Amino acid sequence: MLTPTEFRGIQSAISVEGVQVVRIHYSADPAKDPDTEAGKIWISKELQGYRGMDDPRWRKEMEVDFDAHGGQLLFPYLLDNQNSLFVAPYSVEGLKLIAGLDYGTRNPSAFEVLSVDYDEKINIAYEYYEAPKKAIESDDEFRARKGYKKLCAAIKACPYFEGLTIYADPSLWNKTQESADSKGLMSIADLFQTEGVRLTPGQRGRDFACYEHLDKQLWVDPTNPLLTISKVCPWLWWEIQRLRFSDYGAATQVNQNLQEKIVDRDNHAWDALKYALSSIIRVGFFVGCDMT
Amino acid sequence: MTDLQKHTGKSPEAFAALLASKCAPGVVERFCKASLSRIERAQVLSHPNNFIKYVSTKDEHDEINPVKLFPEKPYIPYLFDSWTKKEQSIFFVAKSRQIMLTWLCCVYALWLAKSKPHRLIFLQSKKEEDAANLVFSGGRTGKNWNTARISFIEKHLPAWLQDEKIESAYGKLLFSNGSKIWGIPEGADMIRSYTPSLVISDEAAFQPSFGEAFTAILPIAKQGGQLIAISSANPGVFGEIVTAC
Repeated sequence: MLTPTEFRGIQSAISVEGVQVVRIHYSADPAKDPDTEAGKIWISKELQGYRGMDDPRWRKEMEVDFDAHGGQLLFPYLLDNQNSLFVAPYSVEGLKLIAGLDYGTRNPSAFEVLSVDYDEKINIAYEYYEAPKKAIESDDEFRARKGYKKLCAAIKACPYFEGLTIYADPSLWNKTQESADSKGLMSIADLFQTEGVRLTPGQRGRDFACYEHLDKQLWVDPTNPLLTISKVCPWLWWEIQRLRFSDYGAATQVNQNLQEKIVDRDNHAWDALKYALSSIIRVGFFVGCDMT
Repeated sequence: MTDLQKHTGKSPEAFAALLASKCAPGVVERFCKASLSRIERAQVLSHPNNFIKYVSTKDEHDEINPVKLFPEKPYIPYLFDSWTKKEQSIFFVAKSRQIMLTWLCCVYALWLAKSKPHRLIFLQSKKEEDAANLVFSGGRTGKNWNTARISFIEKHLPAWLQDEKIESAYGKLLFSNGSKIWGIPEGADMIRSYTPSLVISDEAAFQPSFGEAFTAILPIAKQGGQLIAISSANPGVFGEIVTAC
């Protein structure tokens, strides 16, 4: 995944194909860096002909956004604030810990552990993420490394597992699984329980609540964030950078409002984060929320 | 000169005086100048980071001073170091517009052709004409070196850094050391027919056949060849690999 280099505006990664990928943003050039006076002047001049920096054409041409026409990013400021948001791991001893689990049978499962400190600052401290099927992997090999038993073993290997409350998708409590004995149908949560992993039902459909909480509260100043992601959680960082709002085509947008929906793709770690985060969101958290 | 100096056992100053007394006026100066040029040329061509200090570009927007030295940018040494180290033989650069990366690739191609013998370098663009405009197009007379980028760079180098005997044809430059730079249109055909040392694909995400070219170069990349694909954002094979990171 793309990680920052020592040079501003340049991220680098090695792809699964073994290709060295480098992303060079215009901010790599001091004369175009928005943090410099020269850069501000350059940008104001360059923006001529665009409907602002959110214009998909600008995002494609200048922000190196390959999916620019596929909808707006939820958190477009992440790459620019990578150093303050994606941080070195630190000790979470003595802090409140909660976890979220997104279980996938055909998709990767994701498990994220949050620490909440005394100032209510949150750090995503641990992650387990089943890597997607690799190009060189057969179907049998892929299936062999999946399954709830393997996942439970991985969760129990988490150094913070003891006493951890793990929130998960409430649909895991649907009794859909045949049991080996005469007990009748079991739920996925029951199967986890038999492996020693106790789950707690999380809340579904909190995408927007979590988005608002992050965008308007925790990351309102991304240079001084109230939620950080530890570098031991690279998959969450990878996913959260590419979350987008659903969008219509340009022609349809003429007649309809923008969709208030998040694209359901590469969002397993995000879902896990959401289950955990929504357990600590309180209504009054929202800035400007009138409770009367 | 150093061997002769050792042979005579004289100090550099005494040796220079002896040499001057034995030769016709100006011969020693010319000899020293030529030697220094050779040494300096070798140093400059030892790395593209040295070479680029002598490279000029043209700025079509500047009416007063269109020819200027290549501007210093923090990302240039980073890219040149990565490309010359060749830790990975395939290199994709996803970029914002207007950061002079196509020019930079032209500098790298020219440096490679001048500094290493028998390199076959392809510059691939969507159309043959676009590729020729990167290498050598010759203009109406077929002799104009200012119209394409690499030929422009070569002709604006200091005299001691220019190659004397470069053969040119539309889209091609052939150097006296056996190296060749060739501007080719998109697609896999040319890559499959030859064994290039370096393929530079310009605006790769906008080449509909880039996927085929990429597949064709894989065996070459495994045997020491290099692919540098640069592009601004556009859906396709290039974008799929970049966005998967």
